Amino acid sequence: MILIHCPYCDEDRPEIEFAYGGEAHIARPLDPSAMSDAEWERYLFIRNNPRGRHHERWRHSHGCGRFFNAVRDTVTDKFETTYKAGEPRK
Amino acid sequence: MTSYRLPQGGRINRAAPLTFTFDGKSYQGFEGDTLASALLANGVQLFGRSFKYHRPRGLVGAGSEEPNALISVTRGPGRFTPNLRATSIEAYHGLKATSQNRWPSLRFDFGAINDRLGMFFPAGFYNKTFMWPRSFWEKLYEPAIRQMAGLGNPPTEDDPDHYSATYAHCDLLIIGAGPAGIDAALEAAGTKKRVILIDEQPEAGGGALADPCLWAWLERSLQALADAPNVTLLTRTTAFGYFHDNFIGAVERLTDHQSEPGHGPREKLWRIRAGDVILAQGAIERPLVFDGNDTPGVMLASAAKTFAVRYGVAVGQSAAVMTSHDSGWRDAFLLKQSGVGIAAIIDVRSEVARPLHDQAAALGIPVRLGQSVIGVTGRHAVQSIEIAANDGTGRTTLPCDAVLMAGGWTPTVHLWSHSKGSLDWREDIGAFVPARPAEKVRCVGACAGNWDFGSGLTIDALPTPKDPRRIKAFVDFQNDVTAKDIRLAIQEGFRSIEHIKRYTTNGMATDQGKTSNLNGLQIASTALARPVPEIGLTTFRPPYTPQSFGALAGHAKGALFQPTRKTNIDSWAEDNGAVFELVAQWRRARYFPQPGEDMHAAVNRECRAVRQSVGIFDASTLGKIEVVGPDAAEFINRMYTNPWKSLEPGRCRYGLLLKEDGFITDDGVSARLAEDRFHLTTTTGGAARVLNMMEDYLQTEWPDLNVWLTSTTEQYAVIALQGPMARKLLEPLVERIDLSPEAFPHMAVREGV
Repeated sequence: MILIHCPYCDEDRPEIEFAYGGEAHIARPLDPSAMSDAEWERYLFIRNNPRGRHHERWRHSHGCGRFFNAVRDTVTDKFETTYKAGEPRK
Repeated sequence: MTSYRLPQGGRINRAAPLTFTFDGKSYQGFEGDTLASALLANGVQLFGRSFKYHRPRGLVGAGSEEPNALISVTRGPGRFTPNLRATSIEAYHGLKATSQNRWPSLRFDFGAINDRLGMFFPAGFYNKTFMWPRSFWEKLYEPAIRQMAGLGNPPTEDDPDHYSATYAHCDLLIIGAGPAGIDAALEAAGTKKRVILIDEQPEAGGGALADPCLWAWLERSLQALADAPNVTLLTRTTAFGYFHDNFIGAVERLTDHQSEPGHGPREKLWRIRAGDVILAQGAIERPLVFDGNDTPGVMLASAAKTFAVRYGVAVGQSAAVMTSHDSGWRDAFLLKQSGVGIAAIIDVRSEVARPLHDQAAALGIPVRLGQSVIGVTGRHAVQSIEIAANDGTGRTTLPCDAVLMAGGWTPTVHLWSHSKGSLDWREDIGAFVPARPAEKVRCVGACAGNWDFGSGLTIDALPTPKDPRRIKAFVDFQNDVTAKDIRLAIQEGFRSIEHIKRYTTNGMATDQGKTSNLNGLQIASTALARPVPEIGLTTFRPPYTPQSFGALAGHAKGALFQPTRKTNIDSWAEDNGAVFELVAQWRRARYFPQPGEDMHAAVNRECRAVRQSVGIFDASTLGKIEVVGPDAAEFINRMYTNPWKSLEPGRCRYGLLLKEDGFITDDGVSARLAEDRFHLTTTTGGAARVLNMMEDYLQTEWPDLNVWLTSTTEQYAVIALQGPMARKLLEPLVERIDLSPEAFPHMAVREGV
């Protein structure tokens, strides 16, 4: 079981306290009605599936409840870093 | 029957005899015996039938690496465990053990016909033979194969035992309490570190238990560890898996060694998070590959030494040692000194170190260099062996009742590989050893390839003048894979060891190839004329040894499998004869049948009551979220499809919640309790999902909104009160609420007491 560092609690806590939240840094369109179907499809469904560094969202569901971002290596399953929501992409 | 118990020696308690049965026959053993050592002492060499050919099989090892001697143990109703290794079953008074995969009996097994038909069952035979007609697979082939091939039977009744589980944290976890592990623990005992030392055997000591010279040291060391308050020693505990971030799963066996299982938990699952890990798992001796090497009585030299020294049992009266490694000589010497007759030491090498010669001569052991065993006579036990020089000449027969194989050593890197540490090939010892760690872990002792066993020759199969296609030289004993099968796979075009493994099933049995992987690799390497590191090693996966489902499930079964959420009204409903239904994790009253009513009759009556007078419904299971803050209305307005800002305090509204893709995810009626306070309801199953979604938007999309979300699902009981008499029923029960239609209209909310 992986240990995940919650940037809000500043603690390494076991994986079962957390919930995965999908890919990070996908900006929600400010005006969805102005988007084409293809653009809207890209926003809704198209996601990266890299071999290696992956930016993703996690929530400390059974802890502080906060959403945060993380960089995880999809090959080794190791977390490189975690950082608070709103901070720039790492 | 001749007793093979040596007159003295061993760590067994000769003052504590015990009686047990094997296949219904009664035997005697001593406290400290395993089933394997106790049966050997009684002259039993036949322990089971092999998986595919139903060949008679005896012991290969003396520990958890044992591939052949799989045994079922029964301890009364529901307490039946198949596929236990005889070498790991502690003998106790009243133990009832049975052999497996044979019918009608172990000595006369009908399935042994497979062995005669062996030419029809080469590697991949089921892929080739049972293809047509396709419909026959499910109805005929698979059931027939399952009946014929196999291990023990699964238990048929519910397991009455219970299983415990715990979390543990330590600065240093040491796995394996042999000399290397104990040394590491002694070193750490002087520090302030919290140390856990675990070992799969009932007694700590590992290899030292089979070396009387170390017994005094062992006793001193274990006393020092017992005196160290920071060291916890867990025996009968198998570390079965190494997971991320130094998280180790281990199972402690608590009652299986006792005559009476008692009322305590049978096993305990340890989930250990360690700062640092030291792996001291030792090494496993490698069998040698020759015709008839699976005959009962052919076993590892180290196992024979363990049986003699630790259990005081001779594996035979005249054992031949077939070796390619110095350790075989040393084990032969120790056996001879312990009172086990040695017929000869046969070494495939033409030259060995002078001191070995001298000691063999001093002990009067005949020595044959540059020769190999090329055949074994005897079906249920060894009667004699045939020996030839490496060039095939000088074939002679040597009478003996055991053959001890010493093919070198394989470091036990299973857990290291679970942790994703890399391996390097060491040509000098012909084995993979730990290289770069992926976690905070290091290996010490034999599992790092550091040993004092001497040197040896790594060999794929012993030379033989016989036609290699006509002999049965086993590599994987448990899955009945021969050297011929591996060569056939390569002949048919398989190149990667991963493919060879799956085609031949070499190393795929429950022992995960502890004794077979490296021999299989060497044979593939020779057949492909490529060095071993280029062929690679197959992946080790948890569990290291098979573990019970009970231990992994722990308390999470039956009523404790998951929580049952009950409403505040639940006990009233139960008292009034409710029939319940499960809604997600909730249990909710569904209807209240009166005597003689079925569900339809009861529901019809209840509906009529609601239509004509009044009815109540326990709606407490609905999800509830309190939304509070100056921006509460703005937030809800953005979340739901319909407008909320205009809703006045004291009024309710139905809301529809969509996902980003436009599909409905939830709905519910919500009330504005005050300007800055809303009471939201969600569906019963959607409560957590909706709160998570709202938190997501609030935290990540609109952090500027000043709103707090709180789950209040379990803070309120909810009664839906419906029907023309609803107001009349409620009136005497509440205060400070005007229930008149004018003051309390449709979709209104009021607070009172």
